[in-house]
Formats: sequence, C-alpha cells, structure tokens
Amino acid sequence: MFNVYLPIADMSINFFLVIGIGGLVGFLSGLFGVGGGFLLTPLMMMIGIPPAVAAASDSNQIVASSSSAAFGHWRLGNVDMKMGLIILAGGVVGGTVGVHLVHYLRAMGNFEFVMKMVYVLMLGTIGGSMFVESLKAIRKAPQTESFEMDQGDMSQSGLSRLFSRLPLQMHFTKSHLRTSAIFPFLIGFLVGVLAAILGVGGGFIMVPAMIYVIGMPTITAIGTDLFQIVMTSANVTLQQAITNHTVDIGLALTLLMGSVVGAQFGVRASKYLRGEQIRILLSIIVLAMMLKLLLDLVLPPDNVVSFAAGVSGGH
Amino acid sequence: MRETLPILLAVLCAVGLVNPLDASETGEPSTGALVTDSTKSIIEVGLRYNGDRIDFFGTLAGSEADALIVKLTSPAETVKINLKGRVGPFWMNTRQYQVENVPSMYQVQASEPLDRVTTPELARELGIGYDTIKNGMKYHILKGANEENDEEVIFRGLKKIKVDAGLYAIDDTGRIHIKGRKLFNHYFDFPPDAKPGVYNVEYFLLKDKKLVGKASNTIRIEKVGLVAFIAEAAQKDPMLYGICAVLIALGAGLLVGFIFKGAAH
Repeated sequence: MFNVYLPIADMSINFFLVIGIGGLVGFLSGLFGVGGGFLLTPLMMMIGIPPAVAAASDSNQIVASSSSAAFGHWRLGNVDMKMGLIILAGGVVGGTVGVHLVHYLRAMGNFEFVMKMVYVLMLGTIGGSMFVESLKAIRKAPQTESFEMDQGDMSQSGLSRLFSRLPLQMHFTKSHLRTSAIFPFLIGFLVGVLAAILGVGGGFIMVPAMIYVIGMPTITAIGTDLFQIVMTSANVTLQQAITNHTVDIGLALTLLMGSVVGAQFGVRASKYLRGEQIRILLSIIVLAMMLKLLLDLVLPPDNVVSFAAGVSGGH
Repeated sequence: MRETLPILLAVLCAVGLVNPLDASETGEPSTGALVTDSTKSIIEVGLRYNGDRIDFFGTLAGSEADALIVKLTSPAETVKINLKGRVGPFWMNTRQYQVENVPSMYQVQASEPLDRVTTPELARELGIGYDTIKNGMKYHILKGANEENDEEVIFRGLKKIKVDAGLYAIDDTGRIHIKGRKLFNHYFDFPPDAKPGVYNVEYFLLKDKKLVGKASNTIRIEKVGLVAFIAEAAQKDPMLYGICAVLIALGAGLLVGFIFKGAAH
C-alpha cells in the first residue's frame, strides 16, 4: 500500500488510485479531445473525497492541465484577447458568485445535493444529445468523418442575428466579427458559476457557444476558450482557497501527473477510432456517470446521518 | 516494535516503576501499583500517514485484580450533523443538528467479557459502553423541524460512521494479554481518520466487579512536516495559499507541457 495523506481533504488515500483516476481522465480527454473536468470531480467523489474539496482541487488541476495548451495557442495567435477578456470578466463575476453559492449551500447542508443534481442535468443533456447524434452519424455515413466543428450554416443562426441588434456592439478583429458584448459576458458568467459548483473548465459549453452562437472561427474559439479556462479556474481556485479552504494542492498535482501521462496514450488511441465511435463511447461513459449520480440521489442512503461542513467533525 | 516489548517489560519490572500513575495519585482506591507505558506517545501525521498502531504494556504487580479494562478517548467535541430525509423522489438533507459531547474516538478493550466483570452502575461511572456516550450527548436543532425519533437516529448514524472508520470499538474478547497476573500488553490501532489532538488512555483494574486500581496515559496525534505546513497555510493565510496553489499549478502545467512538447497538443 502506498498511501498519501491529503492535508486539506484530511484523509489518507492510495497514491496510485489518484494517479490512476488522473490517468483515466487524461486518457479520455486525450481520446475525446475534451477537458475532462466534468469526469474528474464525480470520480473523486466516488473514491471518498469530500465533494467541495473534489471540485475546488479539480479547478486547481485544470489551471495546470490547461496552461500549456493555452500558452501554445496564445503564441500561435489563436487567442482573441478582447473576446477572451469580456468572457473572462463574466467568468470572474460568475466564479465569485459561484464560490459564495458553494459557501452558502455548504452551510445549508445541501451543497452535495445541488452539485449532484446539476451534474445529473448537465451530464444527461450532454451525454443524451451526443449519444443520439453519434448514433445517427453511425447509421447515416459509416465511412465519413462527420464531426467537424466548422462554422457552416449555423454561424448565421437566428441567435447571432439577434446579438447583432443588442447594445454594446464591439468589433473583434481576431475573430473577424462584430457582435454585442452581452452574450460573451453572460456565457462567461454561466461557465464561471459552473466552474465553482462543479469544478469544471466549461469548454464543453464555451466552445460550441463561441462557434455556433457567437460565430467565431473554430481555432480562435478553442484558443480563446483555453485562455479563459486557465483564468477562470485560477480565479475559482483562489476564491475557493479564501472562502471555503477546500483547495488541496497535493491532490491537484497528483491528478496532474496521472492525467498528463494518460493524455499521451489517449491521443494515440484516438487514431484507431472513428469520430462517431469515439463520441458514442464518450456519451455512454457520460450517461453511466449520470446514472450513478442519479441513483445516489434517489436510492435510500446507507446512512441518513452525515457530518456538516465547516465544523470540527469533518467536511 | 513488537520484538522490543519483552525487553521493555523486563526493564519495567526490574526498575519497578516507570512513569507511575497509580491510583493513589488520582485519589482512587487501590490495592496495588498499576504501571503502564507505551511504545510511543506521539503519532506524527506526515505525507505517508495511514493510521498507526501503538503497543501498550505495564505491570499489575501486587494487585489481586481479576480484570483489566482500558478506555481510549479523545476530548468530546461539538459537531454539526446533517440528517437526510425524502423530498419527492430525492434524498436530501432536511434537518441539521448541533450535537455536543461527541468523542472523536472511543475505544474500549477488556481482558474479560465486560458484563462478567462490571455492573451497569460501575460501567456508567467509568464511562464504559456506548450508552454512556449516548446519554452524554446534547442535541440542538439548527435547521428544519425536528422529528420524534431524531436523537436515536443521529446516535445510530454517528456510531455507524465512527465504527466504520475504526474510531469507535468495544472489544472484550481478550485483546489484552495478561501474563502470570503480573504483566499485561495490548495495542490500539489509530485509524487514518483519527484526528490530531490529545487522546486519553485510562486503565481500570477490577476485582469482584469493583474498581481497585486506576492509571492513565496520554497519546498525542499531530500533523508534521509538509502536511502541517499546507494545512496551516490554507487556514491561516488562505489568500497567499490560493495564489501559491495557482502559481504552482501554472508552473507545473507549463513544465509538463514543455516536457511533452508536441505530443500533447
């Protein structure tokens, strides 16, 4: 047994189990090209890490795992700084609101319930739609790679026409578009709140929103998203440390070690699978986790008694 | 450490008294000196901490006792407890209580079955048995409306959490070994969940269901090294801790990216 004691979670845990979870999520994120934060927090809870520590340390880990890619995109000029800063402003406000919401919910004793509920809704929506979409793709065109995030006809959707009429119109040179600052701010706000409650980066909401709703070029959307993920997660980490004392840097770095190595294998494995096969696999994993969390909420618990947050009794 | 026990015991006997805390000091009745010691008195919680075991030993020299009971407790604390209830199809916390006088750890070991060597009155007096914990607890509702059976439910749930974590245990099936009515040894397992603090180990010598000797020992659990440093920094200077956590993560991320350059993205 190779156990390490986590100073903030206040528990002893098998080092290889944490590395393994980091590795698994890293593998999946390398394979599927997703951030993986939304898989990491529920997995950490499943091995007994208190939910609030899991989410906060996950944010800390996201800072580490996204920083290199964000830096790379920034150097290549893929970050629309103006757009990024507006989204970030929303993210900082949302993240700060979210952290205080966590504080309030923990004091009320229902943080875990709200967190699991939001996860169930989010994983259910993402997993469900991805499952349906990839199943259709497999049936329709077995030989072609159909999942390309291009702008296509969706960029000129009704929504983006609506944004062009909203106030606070700005010109975004890098993204070659003129739109209202209101929507980027709001989506930043939403992702900031989710980052605090769930410990996720939010790329899975942000990237589609930037491409399909705002109408940014794909590569600029990805670069800008990574930039705001690092900044929003850094803000959430800092706020969680100050307000909730729940950031376990040891846990974050251990997860990072696992995820970096896992991602390498994931990227390699992705070459052997077709896009829609990868997506249907991911959707099944996402739906399975959703189901597990849902069962936690509806099945009678083993013990109706638990320690409340913020007292000497535990988290 | 176990190999050193016989030697320690021999030394103890030869010297006669080591760290004596016999009954005369505590004002309890005694028919002989009860001398105890342990293989260590401080448990250090470092990065590799995964619980610990401490061996205790001592001499009953001179006493005519027929049983020995040992009680390990940590100072009682006040905790907040959430109680789940059904709301529609979901289970969520519906009540919150503050509960006073909850020992974080409580373990009892006895050389003989407890009901054979004590009376209920004596057990109550010495604080032996889960009922003594239960009767000492005070409940105050903080949120929600209290229900009739809540106190019983809380005690049962709390006990389950503690027993599952290895913090609460009562074992009277011969964990204490007595040799020739003179020497004894036994051990306590401190589980990983045993929190930093001072733990009291009390020894009760019994004869004919009466207390004839008493002694005590203390064990301290403390965080040390990096664990102590991180835990303290997070509590005492959370702003600086948060900034460091972000900077370390940024640095580690960039370093890792540099090492795996090209492969990751």
